[in-house]
Amino acid sequence: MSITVEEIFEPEWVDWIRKTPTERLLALEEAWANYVELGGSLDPDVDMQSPFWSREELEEFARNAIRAPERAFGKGLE
Amino acid sequence: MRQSGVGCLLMGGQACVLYGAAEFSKDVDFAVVSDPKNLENIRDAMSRLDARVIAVPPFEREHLEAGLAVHFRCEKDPVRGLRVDIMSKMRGVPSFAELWDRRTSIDDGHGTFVELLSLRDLVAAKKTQRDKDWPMIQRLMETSYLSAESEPPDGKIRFWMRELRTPELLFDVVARFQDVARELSPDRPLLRHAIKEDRDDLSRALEEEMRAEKERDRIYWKPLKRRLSELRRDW
Repeated sequence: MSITVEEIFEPEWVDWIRKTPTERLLALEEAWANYVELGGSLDPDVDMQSPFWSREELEEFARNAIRAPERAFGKGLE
Repeated sequence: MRQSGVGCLLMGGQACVLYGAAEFSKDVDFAVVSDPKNLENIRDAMSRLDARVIAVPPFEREHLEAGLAVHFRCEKDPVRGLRVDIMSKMRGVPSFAELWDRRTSIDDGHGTFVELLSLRDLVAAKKTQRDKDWPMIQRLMETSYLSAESEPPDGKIRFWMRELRTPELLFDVVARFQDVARELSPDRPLLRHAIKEDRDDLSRALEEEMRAEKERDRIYWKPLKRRLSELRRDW
C-alpha cells in the first residue's frame, strides 16, 4: 500500500486507529465514566434530519437542550 | 441488556467508536430480534434502567417489524437522560439471524464479549438521508482500509471497492487490485474514474452516489413517516 495512516489522519487519530478494539472499548468505558461524573448531558444531540421525529418533537428537544446549561450554573454563582 | 438475556447487536455511534471511526458517542442503538421472548427481555432490561418509551411508536412488535425505531429514555442515575434506540428492521440490512452470523465480537477485557454489527452491515445501516452519517461511513472505510493486513482476503478487497469514499484511497485500491476494480466497475461505475485517476469526475460521482442513496432512504421512509404521524394523533 502506498498510502499510510499518517497521510490521511491527524496524529491523535492515528493513535486511536492503532488501538485494538478491546483497547477502544476500555477507553470508551473510561470516557463514559468521566463524562457522566463531570455532569455531561446524556440527552442526544438534536438531529433535524432524522426521519424518526416530527418538527414539534425536534423543537421540544432543542428547547430542552437550551435549558440544560442552567444545570451548569450551580450554587455560589448568584 | 446482557443481564436480561437480550438478543441484540450494538450499532450506531458506539459501534463506530469501536471500529475506530469516532472517539465518543452518546448514541446507544441496538439491532434486536423481535420475537416475543426477546421483547420481554428488552422490557426487563429497560426496567432495570427505569427507562420509559418516549414519543411514538409504542414498544410493540408490529412497529419494530415495520421498520420503526423504539426510543427509550433512562431515568436511573447515573444514566438519567440516556437514550436507547432499538430497531429490528433497517433498509439495506438483512435479517437479525444473518446479522448475528456475521457479527463482530469484541473481548471486553473482563472475559465476556460485546457483540456488534459487522462493519459491512454497519456501513449499510448508515446509508441514510442524514448528512451526518456520510462522513462516518467515509471514516469507517478509511479505518478499515488503512489498518488492514498487507495481503487482505478477496472479500475485504471487494468490500473496499464497493464502499470506499475517499478519492486517494480509491486510487490506491484500484491500482493495487486492478482486476477486481475492472470486474466490479459495472456494479460501481465510479471505479472507472478511479482507474483513470480522474479526481474531478470521481468526486462528482461520489457526490451523486451519496445523493442517490439519500433519496432512496427518503422514499423508503415516506410510508413510515406517515405511520408515525398517524400514531402521534393517537398518542
